[in-house]
Amino acid sequence: MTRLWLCFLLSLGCASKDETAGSDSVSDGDTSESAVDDTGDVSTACPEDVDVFEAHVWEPVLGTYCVTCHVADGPASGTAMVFDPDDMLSNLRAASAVSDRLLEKPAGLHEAGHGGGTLVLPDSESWEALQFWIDWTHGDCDTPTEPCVDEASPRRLWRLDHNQYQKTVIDLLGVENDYGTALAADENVHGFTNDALALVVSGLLADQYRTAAEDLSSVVDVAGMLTCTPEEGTVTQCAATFIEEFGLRAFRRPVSADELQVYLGLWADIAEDDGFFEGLRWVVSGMLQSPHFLYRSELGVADEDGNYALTDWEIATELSYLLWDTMPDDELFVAAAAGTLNTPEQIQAQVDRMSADERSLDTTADFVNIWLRLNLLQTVSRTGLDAELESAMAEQTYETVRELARLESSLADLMTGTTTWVPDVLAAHYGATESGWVEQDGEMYGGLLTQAGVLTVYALADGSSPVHRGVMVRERMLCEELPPPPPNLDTSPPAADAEGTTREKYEVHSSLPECASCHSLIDPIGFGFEHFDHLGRWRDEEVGEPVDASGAVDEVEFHGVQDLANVLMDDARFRSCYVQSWRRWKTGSDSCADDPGEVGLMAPLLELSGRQSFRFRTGGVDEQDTFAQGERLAPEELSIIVEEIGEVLPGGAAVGVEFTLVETSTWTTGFCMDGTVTNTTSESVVWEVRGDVHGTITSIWNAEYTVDEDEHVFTGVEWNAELEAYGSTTFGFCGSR
Amino acid sequence: MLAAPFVRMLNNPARASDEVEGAARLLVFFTPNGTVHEHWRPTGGEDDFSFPTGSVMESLTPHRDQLLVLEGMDFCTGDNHEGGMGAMLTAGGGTSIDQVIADHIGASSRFSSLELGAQTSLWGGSTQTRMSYRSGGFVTPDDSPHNLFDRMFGDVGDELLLERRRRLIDINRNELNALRARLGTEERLRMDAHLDALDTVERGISGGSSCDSPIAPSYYDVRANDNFPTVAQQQIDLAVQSLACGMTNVVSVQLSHTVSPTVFTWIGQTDGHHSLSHAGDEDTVGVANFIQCERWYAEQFSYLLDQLTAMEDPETGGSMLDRTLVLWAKELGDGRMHTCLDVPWVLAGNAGGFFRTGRKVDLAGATHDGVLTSIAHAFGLELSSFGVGTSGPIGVLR
Repeated sequence: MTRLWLCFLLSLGCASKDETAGSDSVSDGDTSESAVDDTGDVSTACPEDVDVFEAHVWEPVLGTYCVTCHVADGPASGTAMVFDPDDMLSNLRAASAVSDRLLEKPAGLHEAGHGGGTLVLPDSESWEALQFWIDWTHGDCDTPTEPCVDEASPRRLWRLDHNQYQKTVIDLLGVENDYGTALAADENVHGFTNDALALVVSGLLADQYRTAAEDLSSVVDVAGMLTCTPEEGTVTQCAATFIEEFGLRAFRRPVSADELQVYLGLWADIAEDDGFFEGLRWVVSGMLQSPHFLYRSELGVADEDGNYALTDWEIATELSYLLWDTMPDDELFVAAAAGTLNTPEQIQAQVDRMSADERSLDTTADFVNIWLRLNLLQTVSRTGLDAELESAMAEQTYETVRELARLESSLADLMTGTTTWVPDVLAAHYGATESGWVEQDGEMYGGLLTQAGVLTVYALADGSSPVHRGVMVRERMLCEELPPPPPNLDTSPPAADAEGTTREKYEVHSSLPECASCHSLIDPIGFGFEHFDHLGRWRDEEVGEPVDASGAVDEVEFHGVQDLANVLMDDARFRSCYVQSWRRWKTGSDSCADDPGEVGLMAPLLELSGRQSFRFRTGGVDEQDTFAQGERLAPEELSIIVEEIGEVLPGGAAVGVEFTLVETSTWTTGFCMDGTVTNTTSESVVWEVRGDVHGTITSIWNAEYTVDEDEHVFTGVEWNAELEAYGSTTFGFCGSR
Repeated sequence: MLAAPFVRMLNNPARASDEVEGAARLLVFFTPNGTVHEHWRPTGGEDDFSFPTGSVMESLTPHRDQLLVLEGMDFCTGDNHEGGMGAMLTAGGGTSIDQVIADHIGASSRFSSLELGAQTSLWGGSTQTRMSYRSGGFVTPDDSPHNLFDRMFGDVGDELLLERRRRLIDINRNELNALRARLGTEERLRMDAHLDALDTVERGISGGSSCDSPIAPSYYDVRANDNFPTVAQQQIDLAVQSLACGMTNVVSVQLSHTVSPTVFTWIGQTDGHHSLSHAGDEDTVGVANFIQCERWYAEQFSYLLDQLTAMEDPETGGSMLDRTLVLWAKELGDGRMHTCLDVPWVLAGNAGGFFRTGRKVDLAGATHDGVLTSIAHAFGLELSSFGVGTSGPIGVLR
């Protein structure tokens, strides 16, 4: 799944590069692409970008609906807009040529009417797509972005991540320990290791939980936790009290009567042999291995709208892990017990209280570490880096971020602020005299990207690395993940002992076309860091040459890291990526974010609790949705919607026809798919596709279907039932599960 | 290290098939980032090959007669670091060969398989860092010799303790089952995985060991770069002991992962392994440094074979190596090219006479799914193909 996503993002990156190239050709004097806008000003037209046109206009509207009539042999063949499905550039031009009425006609707003009737309603997706193209032909070259929707996730159990486990066992037991740091690593999804679907308990992890539970329960001060005295006649009662009180804190909700009996039975059997306290230690051990402890419950209670509202206890847990990454404190438990933790006002009051707590500052510092993967500092090997220096570097970032959070600073303060914490060891590393809270010059040092930890993590073992640093900015700060280099490409960098500066050696990347397609997205950013060596120390010269720290983020040029930070702050991608990264981390699922404009350092965290998706869940995959007949789906029918798209039966003799099927959209209750039929022969064919569609088709375009026993039989409509030599056609359908 | 207390027949001739008993144990050994072929290839012919002075595998010379060096083997699917790592043991299927063999022969073992690692998880679990798969999901290696030692030798034989541990597992099982009933399909799958995990734990804590417990590894930072050699050696020792002590018959030792950043400081290196693996031919210093690292990896493999050779097979009285099939797998061919062509694999141990060792074999572009199929056959699992490949077993290996 991840790898597909990588490739998708590459194509976006390359598309924007193509646009740049196109713009250049326009400014080189090709005036034929200029257009006159409504005000009479001559504006530069956007490039003839076939990919943009196909993705944003052709596929959603023109190639889906209009093409039914607006083709050479269709009913609208005599109009000014006639498409050739095989020639996207000609389609682009056909649409652009009528851009003055591209929307008016199908919307029924043109004085001459529309032969096909009114097909496009105001504010519909089709409307937006056509309006986009009209704007494009008038020089507005911003591609549309999907608005980010505040969508509730399905009910789920979300396993504690290892950081949360660590903090929780310390708070629950009052025992300092580091068991959480040694647990089996979880899957890395977009750079975060807490994706809710990926957090599973493997045999190894279960065994590690067991070991930790046994060890911790053997040292915990059980007697100190007791609120009763086990005296003759009240021993069992006292054990039950402990189970209820400890159980509430471990399970983050009251234990049920059944649970009490189970754990009391465990206690009684062990207490009989080994005494009251040994019995309770086994209760503690059992609860620490229980799914009720290891998973956060986000199951909620069904409401009338078919949603699930989280309970007050679940909200207490959500709030506490959101802001503090640990179990709820007493005040949250009290509010949950009182049933006063479910309205937006009640939740906001807790957020106000909790965000002022030191633990929220820790969470913010943890976020920066995890977002930029700075925890790698603990394990990287760098010439001249020892444990003391490494921890001083980590301390600089952690304390600086905490202080900024305390001061309610902005993201800009993080990126460009000049006040930073410099431990003694780090000051010595820089050859500086000042340590403690230091005001930096803002020329050489200042802002997150000049901190030694960031620069050391993103470096080679013994040298700076424009590639690592450029990839970090591209992937972590712009949220544009890059693909690996293509195979069969000699990726040898210049020899380490080759002459020249690091920059000169790496510039070879951009001189080779096969490398440049990706490295032009990476290296120009990374070159901006060249004033810093592999341990984050400033250098004016390298190998006797003055450092050249000029760089560029796409077409925006900058000079040095200070300037880069400003460029990023002006870039909507960076601002939205910052918010998106918080959301990915704090919701445990892939998430999106719109550009917030100004953004506070902690704002993306604090606003999460106000979202609809904080308090509500939808039903699980197979819980709420049924066939129209009311028949419940078997689980195995849900994962793959179409299987065995079987033989394609051409009308002629033995000819080749290829068929591909792509799921274009999927949601809990339905799906949409596109099927493409390609004739690979020099003869025309009549095509038919048979397959088993698990679900009920609710709409179909560019094809018709019948159901033959269990199979759906798809055939073309009038204009595409017969495919000419090497022709291709795409049809689509949506259905409910 | 024990000296082998028996005389072994070297250079086993091919046996008639009715004499073949097949392999009893599988050990997969992994080292990352491909190779530079000219410094890896043995010289000589199929039966009279040798490892040139200074070449990667020189230290394997004492084990030469137990080896089957594979040349010209391409992956049937997968390219590049991630693709190669994912396809290496799966051939594009959802389950890796070690897990397939574990399902076939591991049902009665205390551990159906054990996965050991050295610094495999510093980047989290991903297609870069995992080689072992079950049902499309990762099998995470244990990177801590200390933890592994506790799993293997800790508290064995304490019946009261075992009874109480089982009771907790039963309580947790019931809790999981009750939760499971309230969940949708996707969540149920994760509860099922957790239930399976409890079964694995229960088997692990219930079984014993046929050996006395060796000395436990001390605590140290297993993630620190400079401790890599210590972790690697202790994991090799524990892997061999897990086989010799009858705890499992399927074990893997994964040293780092593809794109490995390990800096071999203990042999004087200052650049990371992945950086060195990209040194071009004209960068003779870089290539020489990379080969030094690769030679160190080969020495670890040689050490592993030393240990297996020295251990006695409790059933036959022969060497452990004789009925063990050892696979030294890599994920890339030439690391500079990011391709999975001519991937340098080595088999060791003749798998109970199933493979004819003491040879280097040119597979001439045959694909690795065929080798994996042959490995399955060595365990009596007669698959017609493996993963997405269609090769079937490779005759020239026998």
